[in-house]
Amino acid sequence: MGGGRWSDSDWKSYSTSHVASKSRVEDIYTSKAIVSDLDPKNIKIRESRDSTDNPNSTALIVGLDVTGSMGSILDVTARQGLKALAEGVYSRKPISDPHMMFMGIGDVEAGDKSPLQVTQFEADIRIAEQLTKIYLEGGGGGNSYESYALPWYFAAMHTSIDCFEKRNKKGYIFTIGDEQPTPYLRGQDIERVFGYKPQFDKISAEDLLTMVSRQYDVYHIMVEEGSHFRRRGETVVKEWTELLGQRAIRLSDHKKLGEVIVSTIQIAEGESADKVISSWDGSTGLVVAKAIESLNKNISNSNGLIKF
Amino acid sequence: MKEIKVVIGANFGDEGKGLFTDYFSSQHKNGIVVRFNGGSQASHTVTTSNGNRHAFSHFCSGTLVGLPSYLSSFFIANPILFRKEFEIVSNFAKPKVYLNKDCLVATPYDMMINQIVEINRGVSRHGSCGLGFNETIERNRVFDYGKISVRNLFDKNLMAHALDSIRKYHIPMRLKSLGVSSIPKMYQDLFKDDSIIENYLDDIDLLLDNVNIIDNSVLDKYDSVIFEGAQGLRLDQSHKYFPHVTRSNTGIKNVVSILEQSKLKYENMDIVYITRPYLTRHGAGQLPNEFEDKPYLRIEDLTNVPNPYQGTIRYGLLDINNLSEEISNDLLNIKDKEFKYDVSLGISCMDQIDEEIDYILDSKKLKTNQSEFIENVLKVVGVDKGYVSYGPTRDTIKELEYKKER
Repeated sequence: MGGGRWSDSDWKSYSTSHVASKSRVEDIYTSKAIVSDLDPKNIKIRESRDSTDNPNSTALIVGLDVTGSMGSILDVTARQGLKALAEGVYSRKPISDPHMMFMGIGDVEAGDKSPLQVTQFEADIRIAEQLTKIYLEGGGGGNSYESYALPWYFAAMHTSIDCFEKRNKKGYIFTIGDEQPTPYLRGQDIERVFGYKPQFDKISAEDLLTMVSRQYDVYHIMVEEGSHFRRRGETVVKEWTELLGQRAIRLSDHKKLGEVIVSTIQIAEGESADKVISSWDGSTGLVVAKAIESLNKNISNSNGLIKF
Repeated sequence: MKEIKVVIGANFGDEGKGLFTDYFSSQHKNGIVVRFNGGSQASHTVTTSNGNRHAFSHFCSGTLVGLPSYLSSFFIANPILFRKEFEIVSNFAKPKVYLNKDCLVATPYDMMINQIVEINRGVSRHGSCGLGFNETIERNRVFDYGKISVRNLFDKNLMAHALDSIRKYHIPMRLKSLGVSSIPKMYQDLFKDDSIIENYLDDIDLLLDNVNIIDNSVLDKYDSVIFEGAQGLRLDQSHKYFPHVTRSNTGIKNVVSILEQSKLKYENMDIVYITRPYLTRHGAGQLPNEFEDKPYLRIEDLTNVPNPYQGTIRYGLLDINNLSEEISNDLLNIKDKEFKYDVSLGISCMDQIDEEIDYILDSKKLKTNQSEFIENVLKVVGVDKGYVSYGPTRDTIKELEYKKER
């Protein structure tokens, strides 16, 4: 015992870059641009299909705001938080045979290079590999909202999911961010992101919500630590609650994102809120309790939701 | 035909496990040596007859005779120290290393936390080597965003982000929970320094280029398997000497678990417990019957040069009944399992003691000649077979049989 040694002078030489170093942190922390397989222009349809391994697949889409207002928490949420979420979903299985898809959400109006990035649906933790491809553009700009409606449009128009088509069971779509909802999408935005001209010039958030709600239950997570929320939190909460009712959920600690989403799904699937909260320990339980205080198992019958 | 040898230190480490592993390795041609606990903080010295010596960590002690090393899932890999050792070992051997995909991986930040904490403990240090072994286990337990196993190393992008989260979020939380209030300036600078991460990522590349990532099934390919234990029974995490222990199972327990998982077929298994004719201990913690100075003038220890985190080596009298008790306690971990095994004893460093030797038997201090000592040890421990070394090299080892009185 006691052989390997590492002294102060070892640290000294270790903190000097090797001249021939193959790794540059800066290169790794900033993907230069959107990866082509995540570009909606190259995607006709994303499918979530039942298989022998996953006979009762359930689609779950999670879109994260990757604009600058998310600030210092963007990086850790995008790389680690979503991975932890995926691990939580695959291990707790709040829904049967989860098929997960991640999206990076930018700001199409502010001229972001990549306002929307979309991974595949994955049935296991391989989704984590796709996560690292998402380009954290850190763009956005003065309009108080990011393009949260782009994921809705994509889900409504460009996904095909067996849970709904075969079993009439809706999938889930969560968007995550710190700004207000997008009031509308313009035809030119769709053209820029998807590469084709739609039949409308402008479509309202309410109409998009109606479209996507046919196949998906729609939630939004409001990130309280984002810089925009810290300044205009009340407006953010008010506007999202008007649009989504109880399904606008507050996240007080970004490190608990995964737990909050998993808990939300568990409650939506019929678990009691008390039971779900008590299944987490200490501080996690508190964050989850705060986030889902308004949710109850009759969530689908409450006001403020789109019904069909 | 499969033969299994298990080398386990019976005391506080430094018993001579490297020497005996090298010896058994030289007797098995198509063999493999397995590390089943600890990490690179444990290193085992092998000396060759022409005077070369190396303290092995990421490479097992069968390396000099050409056997491959298998670092099982209980091992904790450290890419920084792997590079350091690889550069030395490549000068005299062509080492082949298999690394289990599930091994936890130590980062520079685990080492830094460990060192800061030991510096803060001052005189009441625990006797840690400052290489972050325990911190690695702790980080993987408490910090979800910073869990790193060997299989994650391929994804450089993810690694870079995990490391960044560790330094930004884990270090402050961990130091706070350990009650550390002052961080030396050198470490504050190191935390901010990106080149630490860059160099570490390079070290990961070197590691991945020079090991084969596999699971326990690799053992099937070999005719004999030599399990090389690290540390000693009295440093086991469940030992009564807690907290001055190591966070691993130092006895037969992990071997049993590897054998159960791999369903290895074998004909003979020999569990060899190793001791010196006296006790040694590094760092803090209890040492029964401790001497004030080294008891025999000829004792020489080149591996255990004092290091700033661990202090110097200490010596004590060997209590044979104690030794026997430690061994029988360890064997409880295999007794009720369906394994066939023999037990034997290895005694190292016999050349270092005088013709007369002091030890404790039945609570009495005895002074006898060497052969009576050896006979007493084998008798009390209750084994038939012993291996005794009279020098630092494998050619000084003699095998002896003890005839039990029937």
